[in-house]
Amino acid sequence: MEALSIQIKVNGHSHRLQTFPNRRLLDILREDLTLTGTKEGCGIGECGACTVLVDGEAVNACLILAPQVDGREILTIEGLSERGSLHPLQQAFIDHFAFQCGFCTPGMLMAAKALLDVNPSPSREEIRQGLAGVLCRCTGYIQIFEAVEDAAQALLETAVSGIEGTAGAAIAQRTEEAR
Amino acid sequence: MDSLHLPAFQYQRPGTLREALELLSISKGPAFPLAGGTDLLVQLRSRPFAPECLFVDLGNLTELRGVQLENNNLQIGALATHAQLAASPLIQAEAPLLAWACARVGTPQTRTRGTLGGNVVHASPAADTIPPLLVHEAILVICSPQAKRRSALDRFLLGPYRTTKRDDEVLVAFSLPRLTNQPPAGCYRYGYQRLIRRQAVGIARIIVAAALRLQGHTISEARLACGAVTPVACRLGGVEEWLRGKEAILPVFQEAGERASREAFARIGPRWSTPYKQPVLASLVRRALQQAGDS
Repeated sequence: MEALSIQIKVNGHSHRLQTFPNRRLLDILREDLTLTGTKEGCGIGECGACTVLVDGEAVNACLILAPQVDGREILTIEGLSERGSLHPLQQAFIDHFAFQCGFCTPGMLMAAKALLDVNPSPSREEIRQGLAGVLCRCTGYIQIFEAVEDAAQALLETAVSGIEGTAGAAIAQRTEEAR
Repeated sequence: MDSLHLPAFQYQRPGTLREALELLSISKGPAFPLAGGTDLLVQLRSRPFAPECLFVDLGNLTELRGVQLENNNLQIGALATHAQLAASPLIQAEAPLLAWACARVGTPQTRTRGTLGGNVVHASPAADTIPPLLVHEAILVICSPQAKRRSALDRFLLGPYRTTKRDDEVLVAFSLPRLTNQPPAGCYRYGYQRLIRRQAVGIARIIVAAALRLQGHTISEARLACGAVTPVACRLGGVEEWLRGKEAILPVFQEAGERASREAFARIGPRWSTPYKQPVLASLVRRALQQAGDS
């Protein structure tokens, strides 16, 4: 087996790594970059604890070989907060106590981030389906769904307050009516 | 550092299909095309692979990802992902059974990576996408270094996890003859039903895919496929024949369910689970036909 070189961008930082083809994205993140927030649960794509975003899409980091992400952009739980302040999803998970042991939480948050990126105001059912790839054995999921709903609302409000003048007010009103 | 988690293997990531085919044909050990990896990487952990095994990563062959309508055939690249197909307006319009199956297979995470070609070549008896493809009478386009061949899906599948694909071949595309909705021949309506322990992650216990062509309330053509319940997913030709010319009403669907269940279980012979599965298959067939008839 020959070593190979890959170039990846993780949480905004570029890395060139020498690695072996039988190493997974999960191994690169945890062992080479010491980004241990991404967890290994089952290792066979069933529990979702290793969920990260590759080019904005949720994937199981345990089911991708390192060379398969050559040239790609990766977002892990360590890259979710911005400028030292928690992402609204992280804050909502804390507010709702949406975890006990916390092992699934990084995967839950990344799956939720992928969902909200494409669907900013998902229904409860859409949240259930969006998070169906991550197992939580502690919470019973309800607090997690509520947290994602709250975070979606917070993100929409942030987006609206970023729009100046009447357009923003109109969107705010429509959001209020939709509620 | 070498991996602690996966065995050693040889790996190549060719830039063209021709290169990929050459690599597969000159490999000294067993060679496997690698698409999304959602099945292959699981197998890597559970069964022995010799270090000379070669994985030929098809990830750079972006030309095998397209979906288009061409001369009344729906052409689907073998590397199109489940997520891509589930979201494709063309697939939703032309092959809703396939769109539904792709939206349900695995989890959001595996649908991002998993490909239609991979699902079919893996040839699990419970593959979610195979019954819809059987209903559409999909033709597979398979390339080797020497030739390109076409094969009907039902002939391609030999048994559980066994197909006619050789080690030096790559499945490159699916061609689905378009089911046209033209009066007076009638319009196609679809139904898809699945029995599974849990909607995500799980492995289907029974899958039913149905298409009915309706002229008014009369069934002018029926296509019915079941998966997971037989060793190889298959069409149920006897029931399809029986349905032709019948009215699209509940008592007909009920009897079709009974007949479909008898037909499927006659093929595989009695098993310990037959008394449990037989009435369930009948119900799922009835529901799939109702779903098609009501849509």
